[in-house]
Amino acid sequence: MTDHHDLDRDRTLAERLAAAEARVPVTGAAPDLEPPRAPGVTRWAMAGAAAAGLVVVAGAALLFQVLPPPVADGSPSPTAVPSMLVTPEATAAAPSATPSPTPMPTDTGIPTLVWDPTEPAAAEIRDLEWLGGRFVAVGSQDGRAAAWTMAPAGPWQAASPIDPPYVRFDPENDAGQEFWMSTVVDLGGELIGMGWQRIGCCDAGRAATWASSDGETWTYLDLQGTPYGEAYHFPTDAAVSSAGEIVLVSGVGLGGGSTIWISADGRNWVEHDPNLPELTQMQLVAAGEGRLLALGDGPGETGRVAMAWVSGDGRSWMEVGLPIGADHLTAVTYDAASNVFVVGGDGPAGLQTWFTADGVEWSSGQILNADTGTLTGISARTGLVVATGVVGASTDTRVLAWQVPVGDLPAVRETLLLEGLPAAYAFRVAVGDGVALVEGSTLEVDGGPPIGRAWSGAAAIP
Amino acid sequence: MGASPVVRGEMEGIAYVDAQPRTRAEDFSDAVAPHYPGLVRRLTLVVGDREGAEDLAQDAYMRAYRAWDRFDGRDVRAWLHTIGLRLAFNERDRRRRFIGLFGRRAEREPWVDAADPSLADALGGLRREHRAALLMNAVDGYTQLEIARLLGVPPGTVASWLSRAKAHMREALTDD
Repeated sequence: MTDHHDLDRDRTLAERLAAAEARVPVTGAAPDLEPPRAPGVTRWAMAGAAAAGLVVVAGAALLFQVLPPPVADGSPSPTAVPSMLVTPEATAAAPSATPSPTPMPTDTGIPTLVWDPTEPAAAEIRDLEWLGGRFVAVGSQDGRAAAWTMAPAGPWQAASPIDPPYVRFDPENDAGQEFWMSTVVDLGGELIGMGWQRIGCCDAGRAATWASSDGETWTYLDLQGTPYGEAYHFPTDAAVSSAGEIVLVSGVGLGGGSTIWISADGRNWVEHDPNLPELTQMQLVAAGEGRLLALGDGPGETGRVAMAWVSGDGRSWMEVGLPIGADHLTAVTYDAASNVFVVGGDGPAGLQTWFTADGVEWSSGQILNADTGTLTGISARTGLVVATGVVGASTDTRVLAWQVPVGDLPAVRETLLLEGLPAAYAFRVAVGDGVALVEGSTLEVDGGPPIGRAWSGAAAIP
Repeated sequence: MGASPVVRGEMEGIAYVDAQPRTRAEDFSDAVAPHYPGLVRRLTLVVGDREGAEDLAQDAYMRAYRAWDRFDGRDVRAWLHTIGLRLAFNERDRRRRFIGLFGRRAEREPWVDAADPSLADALGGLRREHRAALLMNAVDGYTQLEIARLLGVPPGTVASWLSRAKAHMREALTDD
């Protein structure tokens, strides 16, 4: 929830930060430049050339390995496994070395399931979906695209390596490649993962796509030479329309706008400009029967304000009015059983859900929480919504999940308390057969990366 | 023999054509030079010392020049800030390894803003990533998604950074 007092304070803080920055004196100038490199070098050739440089880096790395490990100021190496065993908080909840495939019940009755510490501990999960009778998570791990699957109550299964031959990313030497998978859909039984790739420190990034028939073995689809593969864009969210096409929302450029790519097979893509106003971004999309609903934001008098659009096929879009009381719309899903879109966000009343069949007529759902916070994920299945969010101040962040019936305003919500560490953060939720799975991270430990965790709850899901 | 290749027509004017094409370095300099002071200022607030910020900015410019072919041509300021901030995050990690291996080296003089010392103190309580996200959001107006793209981290992570950074600043500046 954001009140006007918060907005005033944020505005004042922004002004103070801008003024402080402007007061920094700058006496130097940009450096003289080296002679230019020969033109006409392709990015794959550059990546290959970087391999030679990495031989030298590898030698240095070997030298590092024979030296004593870093000690001292209490900060972990950036490449180290998250130090789950060195903090009191982490020790209390650290999983055993052997992951338990069976969710462990807690006092709240909501079982928990921790990540396999040897697998996605250093991973970044960017999408979590219930597809084809199992959970599918995609993201990146150690600079490579990665995917995991999990049957209800089962352990996570890491997918086979799925990147093309590549040079490992080396941030200190502007070399190598990074891959991410940002979103995944089920296209007629084939999983299509969409993400991006970047070379070295300074590449703006291009789209990358993978396909899998079983979620365990993935094939990198080489789309170089096609407009989709060559354009600088960043896939952020996708849905499969009722016409059987992937409708992909993609960001354009560094800090730029948004565009739409459509494909019937994940291999051949056509771009469609949604004609958004300047500085407006489309970020999320969900598909219903014969229609799509997209969410985003644009500039407003009090900062970024929510925006929503509807489309019949993803090729042309119409902006629609917002539900009453919505300041930010941060999650969207579609419940086929109820034939409605379910949208989550926040407004003056707190974290809330709204429902719409067509993007034009809206109804308000439960106020999930009246504290300051952000609704981070939403999923619906057979008439039941599970939402996740983060509420509270920095020193007392609480990760919460709620389940509410679709459209049933008088029903009392049920809060699903997730057993996480202090200051944990929930990112996404997916609902499967009888199980709600929440993915998030714990507090970053002393400068280290977030520790990935997932919670599964055997909620009363039909 | 075929027809003469000479095309007949009337000359309507004469234009001077620069026979010397612009060099890659000139194109780069024209595009990026105006953003150097802004990058140093941003990095000063993120890393907390001006000398370190200037070193990072110089490094960022050299790397940007080598990668000029891979710039998408849209927002050169955002691109330069992205490179500089990534270097700032990596530099802190390198420095930690250095300290671990060879002992603590002399600390640089922290940047102090005499006009608003409490703000500098409050910023000092944040991690570099949190400071960077806060400045990009509050000063530049970038959204969480844009910051995520620029820094190459998931949007949820940026949301987490911003949430904690703003809450910390509100708490630290309560008495102002």
